[in-house]
Amino acid sequence: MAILIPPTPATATTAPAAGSNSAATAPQKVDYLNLPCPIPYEEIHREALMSLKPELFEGMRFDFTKGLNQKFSLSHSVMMGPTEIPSQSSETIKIPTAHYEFGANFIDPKLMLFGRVMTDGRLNARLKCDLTDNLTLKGNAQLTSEPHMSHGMFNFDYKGSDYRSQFQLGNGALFGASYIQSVTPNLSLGGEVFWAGQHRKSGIGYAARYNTDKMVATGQVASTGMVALSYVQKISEKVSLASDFMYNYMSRDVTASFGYDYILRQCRLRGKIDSNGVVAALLEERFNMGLNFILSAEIDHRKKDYKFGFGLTVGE
Amino acid sequence: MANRLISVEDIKAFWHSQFHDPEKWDLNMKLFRAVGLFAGSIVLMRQYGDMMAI
Repeated sequence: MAILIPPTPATATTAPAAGSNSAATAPQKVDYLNLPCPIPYEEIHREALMSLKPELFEGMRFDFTKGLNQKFSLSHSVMMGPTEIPSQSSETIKIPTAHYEFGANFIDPKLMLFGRVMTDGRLNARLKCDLTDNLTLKGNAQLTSEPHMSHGMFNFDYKGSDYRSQFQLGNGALFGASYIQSVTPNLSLGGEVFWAGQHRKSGIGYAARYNTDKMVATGQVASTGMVALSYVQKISEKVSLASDFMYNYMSRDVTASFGYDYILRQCRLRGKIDSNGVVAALLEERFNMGLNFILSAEIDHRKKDYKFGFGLTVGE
Repeated sequence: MANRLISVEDIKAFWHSQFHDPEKWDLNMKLFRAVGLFAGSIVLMRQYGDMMAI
């Protein structure tokens, strides 16, 4: 005798589950009142700069950082090598120099202080203080014994829910302001304006940044004649490729570069090539806990300028 | 016939001023090289970037 078996609850729920999967793959509705906070305006090219503008150097470099306690540390740096001097002709003029730099760092969750003093009397100081949860004060100063060569600047940064604004005050009657707003979860737009009273110059600029999990694309234009575009492709957690384009239509200067950034367990390798025929690379190898070996190379075939450097970093 | 020769001369003069001017051509070459490197690298990254993964 045939018996009809009713469908089990398991089979009955598979059809609605398939329907909910298709709903999950459909684009979710964007909540425009709950957009993420964008990154600061001055860091809009952050990923491209990290990959394409490593700290190349020429000569020998030794850095030693000693932590005295959890918040306070001292640093000693020795640098020996040629220093380039700006010259009118196309030839580069280098003068061999050697200097020692003493530094002190204070790092607290709400307050950070950095100071560096060199043997030629130059002092660099930086300050970052969280006045409230949303308001941050930053300051930096370079003081020298040469007259009219000292500079100082203060920034007030306010972080909103989906925007950031900054106000700048500097010596020489320098005033600046910038604002950046998240327009969609991936796109943020911003603008800046500055006034340099001492030189009687002002300028305005606009920037846009589009980022996803896999890529970041940014563009910036300014009335000073600068156009800057960058594109970073995040291949994986360890590898990223970057490209940037900089054009100044006032000075008729144009440069594009393409580079890579490999962050591995024991080392970090960055390299780039640019449209002026300059090839550069920087390798930071971690020998042991707190001991890093650095190799730097920059080769400009056109100007016949070859720069090689090596260094050691001890401490965090 | 004479008019055609004059028009060809005009075209040659225009070509010479735009493309054979050393200053403009230097800047244009630098611009083309930079734009080509930027655009070509973006195409390479998007198409073949996964091959560089470790």
